[in-house]
Amino acid sequence: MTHSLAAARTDGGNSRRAGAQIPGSRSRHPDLLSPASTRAGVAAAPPALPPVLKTRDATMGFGLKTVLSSVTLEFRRGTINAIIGPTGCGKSTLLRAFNRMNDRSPTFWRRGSVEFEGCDVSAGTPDPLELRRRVGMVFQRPNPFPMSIRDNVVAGVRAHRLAPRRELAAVAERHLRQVGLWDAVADRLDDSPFRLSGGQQQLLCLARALAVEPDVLLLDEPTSSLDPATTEIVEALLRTLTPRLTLVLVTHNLAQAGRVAGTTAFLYDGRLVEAGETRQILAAPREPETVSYVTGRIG
Amino acid sequence: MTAAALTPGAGARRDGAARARLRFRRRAADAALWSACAAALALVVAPVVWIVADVASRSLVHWHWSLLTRTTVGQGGGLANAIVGTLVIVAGVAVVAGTAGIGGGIYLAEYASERGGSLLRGASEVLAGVPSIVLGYLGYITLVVALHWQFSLGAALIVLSLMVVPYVVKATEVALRQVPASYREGAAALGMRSGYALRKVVIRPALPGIATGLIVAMAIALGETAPLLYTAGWSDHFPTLHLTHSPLGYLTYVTYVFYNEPYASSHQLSHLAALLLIVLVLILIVASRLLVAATQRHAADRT
Ligand SMILES: Nc1ncnc2c1ncn2[C@@H]1O[C@H](COP(=O)(O)OP(=O)(O)OP(=O)(O)O)[C@@H](O)[C@H]1O
Ligand SMILES: [Mg+2]
Repeated sequence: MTHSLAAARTDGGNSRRAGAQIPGSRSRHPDLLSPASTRAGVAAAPPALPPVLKTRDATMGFGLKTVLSSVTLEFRRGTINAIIGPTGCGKSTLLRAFNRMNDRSPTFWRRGSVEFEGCDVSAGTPDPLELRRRVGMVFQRPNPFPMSIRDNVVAGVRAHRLAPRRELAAVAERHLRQVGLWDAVADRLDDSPFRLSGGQQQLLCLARALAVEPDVLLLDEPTSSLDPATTEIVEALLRTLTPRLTLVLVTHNLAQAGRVAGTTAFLYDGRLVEAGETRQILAAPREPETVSYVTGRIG
Repeated sequence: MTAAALTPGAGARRDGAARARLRFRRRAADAALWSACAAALALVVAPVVWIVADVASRSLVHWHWSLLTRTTVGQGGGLANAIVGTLVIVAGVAVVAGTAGIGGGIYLAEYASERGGSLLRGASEVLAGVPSIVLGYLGYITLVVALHWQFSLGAALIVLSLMVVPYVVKATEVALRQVPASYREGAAALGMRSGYALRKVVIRPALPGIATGLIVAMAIALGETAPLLYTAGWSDHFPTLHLTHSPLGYLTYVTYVFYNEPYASSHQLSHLAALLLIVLVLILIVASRLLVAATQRHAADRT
């Protein structure tokens, strides 16, 4: 229980999660230190690595609209974590808070903290560009750039000057191999990526995201436009990325969460209702909203 | 249920007749639409063919290569000075209006605040609406007279560029706005600086639109007469490339002024200049097509 990788605090602070202690948060959240939760987990817990991504009381929205209320959540290094919830509940907004993609919208605002490796993402270290290199993102619809397949893979490498020009071809090959696309595209690296199938395009986008050597990959419904066979390939690939990377995966597909994610967080109407081991969330959810959602009654 | 429905033979016959009528009506509608389209096409194509044929037949009867290699001498001679002058003017406009217009379009599409944007957009639209002869006259009294530039390449370039820059601004802004947002998002998510993303990712799919705008601007500059009469003057000699105190020749001058002279030689030059203007416009159009084809190599088929 305590080694579970996501920790949640629901609105009233009635955390049921023993793994929810957040270093340095005791004074702010004494409720997390209630005797019950302390006794419940700590003894059995392996020494917990500090979380890579963490939100504390994060409340955010656009203009007058509050999209997420008081979300406290953390993701540990080298794990795959799913975020589930009905449409419009704020999954993408939460995901995009970690790499500051929300900041591109002029009406976006946030309270509380959103941290990457212990530093608030808005603190400026790392700066937003470096943050986005280290916290990569893959989108729902494949979005290769209008340039050759090879240039697509190394677009980020070039932007961050991560490799000298003469090594770019090798970098491209390495990451195309990593996503299993090499054999399919080896003889048309200079061609347009738009002649690839949708699944191949998504794999290309994954290769592009991996080529800048990120620590975290945020995936926003990465397989929702793909057929089941391709989805399976992508899922298998995601599993190979841990423990080097930490993955956060937004999905509408509960079975997918069950197949790949160690932990799952359930968002409902902007609140974090429940988070914990995926097995528990899917098989034995504690909150009534989670029960309704995983049994298909809401969303 | 009618009797016809009960007796299959009669029903089939009547159905057949109805279907035939329907088929005829559809065919007639089809034919009407097609002929309307053909008429519209003819309305556009016929004058073009007629103009080209007329100009070509009038100018080519007296054709001689020396017309292209000799400079104008009084009312005769050749068109070399005017050809070079026109090319210099068009190239200069491409540089001046291209730089300013593409810069302005990028600013409007990517960086402008609501207010700054609408201000610049409004100004650009007003500028596009000012009659070219008014711009020419303004250029004359300010640049040529007040600043003592006299008839000059500089004055001509400034006035012509002012005239066509709105087209380049508009084309650039529209082309950039049509670039799918997913490119910008993808670039930002990789940690690209916005200027870098613009140069490496976003501008590429916009290039055909920008190039087309630039070529339209060049074609307009190519065909302008009034503002040049006020600013470039005329010269029998090759252009000097000095920006001030440098009157120069250009084809539209020959077409317009020489036609009003009472000499056969000047009429010949006038017709030939007209033909050359048409040919140059055609070259610009072909160039824009080739450019679009070349830059579309990696373009998305879905946009
Ligand atoms: N840029 C924005 N400006 C204004 N409102 C926004 C913006 N982005 C998202 N929202 C609003 O925030 C709410 C949550 O959106 P979000 O995209 O996070 O939902 P989601 O859980 O990802 O939904 P889905 O499953 O459909 O992708 C929605 O009501 C949406 O309208
Ligand atoms: Mg979403």
